[in-house]
Amino acid sequence: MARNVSSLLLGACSLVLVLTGGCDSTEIDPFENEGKYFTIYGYLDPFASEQTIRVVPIRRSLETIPTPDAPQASINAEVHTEDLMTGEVIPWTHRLYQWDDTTRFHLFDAAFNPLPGHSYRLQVQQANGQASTVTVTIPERLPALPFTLIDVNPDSLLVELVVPGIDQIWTVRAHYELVNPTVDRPGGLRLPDYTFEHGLRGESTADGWRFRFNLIPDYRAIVDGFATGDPENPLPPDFPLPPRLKTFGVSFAFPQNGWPRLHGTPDLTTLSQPGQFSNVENGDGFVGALSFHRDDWPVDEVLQNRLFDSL
Amino acid sequence: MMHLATMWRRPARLATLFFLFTGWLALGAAAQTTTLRGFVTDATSEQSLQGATVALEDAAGTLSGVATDGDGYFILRRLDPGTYTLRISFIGYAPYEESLTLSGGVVQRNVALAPSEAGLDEVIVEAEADGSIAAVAAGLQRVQPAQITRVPMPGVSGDLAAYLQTVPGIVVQGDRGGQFFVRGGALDQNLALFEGLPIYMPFHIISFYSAFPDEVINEADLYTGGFGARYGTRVSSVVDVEARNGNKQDVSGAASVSPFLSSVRVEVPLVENQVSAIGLVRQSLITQVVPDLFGQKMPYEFGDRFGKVHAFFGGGHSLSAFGLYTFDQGDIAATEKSFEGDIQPSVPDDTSQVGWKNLLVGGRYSYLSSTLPFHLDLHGGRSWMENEIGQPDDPERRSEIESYDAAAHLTWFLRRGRELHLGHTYRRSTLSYTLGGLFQDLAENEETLTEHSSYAELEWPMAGGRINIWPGLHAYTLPDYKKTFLEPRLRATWQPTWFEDRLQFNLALGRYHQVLVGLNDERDIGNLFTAWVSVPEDDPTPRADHAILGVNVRVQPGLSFAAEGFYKTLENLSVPVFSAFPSFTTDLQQADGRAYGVDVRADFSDFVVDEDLALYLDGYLSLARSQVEYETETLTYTPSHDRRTQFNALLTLRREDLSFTVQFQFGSGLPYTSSAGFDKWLLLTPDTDVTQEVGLDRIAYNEPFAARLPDYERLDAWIERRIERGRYVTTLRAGAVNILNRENLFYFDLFTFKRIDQLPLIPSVGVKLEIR
Repeated sequence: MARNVSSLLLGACSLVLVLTGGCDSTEIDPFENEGKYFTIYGYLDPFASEQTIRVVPIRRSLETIPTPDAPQASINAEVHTEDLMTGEVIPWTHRLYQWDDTTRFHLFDAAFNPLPGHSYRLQVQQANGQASTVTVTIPERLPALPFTLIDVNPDSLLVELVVPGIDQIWTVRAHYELVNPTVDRPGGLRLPDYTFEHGLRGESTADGWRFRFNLIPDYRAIVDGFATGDPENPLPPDFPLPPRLKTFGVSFAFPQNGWPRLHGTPDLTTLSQPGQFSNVENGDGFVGALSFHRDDWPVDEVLQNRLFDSL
Repeated sequence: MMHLATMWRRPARLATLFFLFTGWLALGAAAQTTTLRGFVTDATSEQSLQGATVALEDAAGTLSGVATDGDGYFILRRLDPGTYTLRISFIGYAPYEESLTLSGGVVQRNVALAPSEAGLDEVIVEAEADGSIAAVAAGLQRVQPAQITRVPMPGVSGDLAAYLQTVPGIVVQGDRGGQFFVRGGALDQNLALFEGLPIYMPFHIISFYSAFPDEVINEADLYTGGFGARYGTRVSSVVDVEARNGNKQDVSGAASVSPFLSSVRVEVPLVENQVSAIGLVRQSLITQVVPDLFGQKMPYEFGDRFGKVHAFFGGGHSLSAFGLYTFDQGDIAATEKSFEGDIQPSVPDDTSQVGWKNLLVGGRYSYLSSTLPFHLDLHGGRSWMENEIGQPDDPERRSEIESYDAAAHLTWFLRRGRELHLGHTYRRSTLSYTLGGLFQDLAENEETLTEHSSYAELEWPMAGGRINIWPGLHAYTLPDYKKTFLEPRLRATWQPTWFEDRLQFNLALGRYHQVLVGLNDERDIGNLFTAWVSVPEDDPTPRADHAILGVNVRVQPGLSFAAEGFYKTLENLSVPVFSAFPSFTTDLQQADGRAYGVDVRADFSDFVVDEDLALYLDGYLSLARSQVEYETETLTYTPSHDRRTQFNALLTLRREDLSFTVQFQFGSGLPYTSSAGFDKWLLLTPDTDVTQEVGLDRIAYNEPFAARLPDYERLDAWIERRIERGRYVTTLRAGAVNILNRENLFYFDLFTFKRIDQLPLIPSVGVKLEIR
């Protein structure tokens, strides 16, 4: 059955014509960079006199530097740090680093010792004034730390330390100074220091970073080393064993608070997402600050005997 | 009490229960002495009408009835002598009524129903089933070949794939690949059934085409959500396609030739009025005819083969067997453009060459009892799909799924038009893949999955048919997991008395689970590779809850509107973890989500433009607004198929045998993740020496999926001439897809800066010769 054309239908037809006539752009620019210029990696080390950072320009394409005279070899940027406590400005020097035949990247170096407790504002600035910046504070030195001894069983003599005000610590090393008291000289015969890597360990608590390590396995390893001998430095056959522990100590690096926690199994897929592991303004990447700490404690006779008994 | 899962492990016991139950129901039947039988056909096309309602009312008002089978055949047995009123009705046709006096013996009535002028009392059934774009009832749209043919496409036939692109709420990713998202669901959450068997990649590499051309379809039920208790194992949508039977009276067929797809269809009555065969072969000719179109290469090879034999044995028994084979192969990035838009020579690589094949073999036995008011449908078969990506002779990745189905469906016709639907489907799938380890952390594997789907659904008309409700329960059982999910479903329609019966309100609610999931890698162009896996037993099972509320209104004959709102919650989805590296393995993470929206449709037909010239206008408009959100542990975002606005319009101006059609499609830009650029990433620790770490190339992307691609717009125009001479029909069609040659974006590679566009302006001419 036929129907008359209604105004509704005419309106619908008009709508189609308007829509078809109003085609917008099909262009796409997938890049929306609202102020991200450089990705920066590195850390300031108060125990080093030479500081180095890596600077990666954020580009619209994957950048390679095929030759030293390629356009990409020039980063066209300046880097400087300002000590926010003293106002001192330190310029950094560009260095095109060749990693292998085909891989080069931009490094910047500066010769200075960052000071504990000082904040530094690092700026990577393009010629047009656009800059990526990051401010880092060198951790204060830690006071001497007390330790607690936890005697669990014949195989476990734990040293527990709590580092106040610290988010995390890095590789823990245990240091041992040994002496053979039976050797006829004052204080006995001092033997070389031994260092054992204990890696990343511990946990964050309300009182600070707490970690433990076991003295007994280290001590046994030292004694076993004496027993089996060092082929390059053989001991006299009548050398008295075992040696006694004179001091033990611990050292570790600790980054400034806010460095993403990397203990355990870090989720690299998440950490690598832009902005997830970054403290750089108008850019990406991470610039940290480190410090180090070491404590050594004398070993009393009770502890010496406890260790001796564990053998 | 025996646990349900335990019961299902004892098929013999189940079968016994099943037949005892049907036997118990059969006790109520009374013997009759007259047989009434006949065929119901379309008066214009002479095609059999399956599913027409045949009702016989005696003088006391007692009603008995059946539905016609695939050949339009019905039979009512053992009728007492007396006077009856025979009523035959079918959606979209004028009802037939006749007074009969039966005195014994066999009475034959062959009835040809005339297409209806759509009287107002047909609103409910029409809204369910007439196939117009506005005929949506709580997520269900029943699509018939005539509606598919309404949407022109390159070639002369119609195809369900082209039709689906006009349905609001269905987001098609592009002109290539045919992958579609339905109302916020993901690719793997759509269930496509052909003759009751799942078909895993039913769409061809050119998205206008699928394994479902109008020449094969008898009827297709499309649920964009809220599907009833009969369906399960997927959480988003269902396309249930029923294949037609061959002509049982005469040899008939058709042949069409066009640059994109040519076809030959033959229908043969093997035993007149009893056994028929139909065969269809379709083959793309693009690579031979138009290997290069306006600078764009067209390396697409696809086609399908279909055959079905159907036998009607009388007494309501029918048996059919069918086979369907589809194949696709092509390089969907064959033409690349630079960032500035210049066409670049492309090199086929391992992520742009894709191929897939489907093979379905199955059979169906149907029994429509004339003595007992029930219809039994048993079907089963094998479905196989292979999907490859990479060089055809040495694919980088390969996945395969093979499933065997056995299903039984029983409909018991109760008094007062009520129906009880019971059914059970057993499916055992073997899933295997070889992925090389750079895809979802998977290398290769083979596993099996057994699924049982059982349902009970009641169709309950009330208030004189003004209210219809379909309460149901679907039980999804996984014996290997020792799990059973009970999924309540409810569909309802209400036709109030006000507004002159022109209104119908629709409601659908349901809960859905899915254990068989497809993994896609969003880095693949067009997501054309899917590895099917089962959700690990201990992982939470993906789940969705649907709620749909809608209204249909027939303003006047030939002009109808529909509006439908939906809300879906999605739980325990597996979505990719965002990675900043171009060659990083895509890990998965859990996500929940929700999708909601509303769509409005208007459909009009036979509007007079110029009565003297006999110029008429048909068409439809649809507008959809929706939003999809996913939420992971760390992020809330809109996934890449969150198309907020979708508009489709189709106008056909016709005069006698000549018609001119314009179709316009608009889709607002899909989400994507923009980038701030590229840099290097290295994991900086206090041990890192920045001079010794090269770092990984990284894309410094911005907020995931926060940016939008350009809108999609396409204008097609077609002119068609149809010449009928008795049994012979010639159809000529000429026109073009994307006549404005708009450079719609299909894919943009952030790492190479290359863009791949949707199909350009595609002119097409075709001719089809048909013997009816």
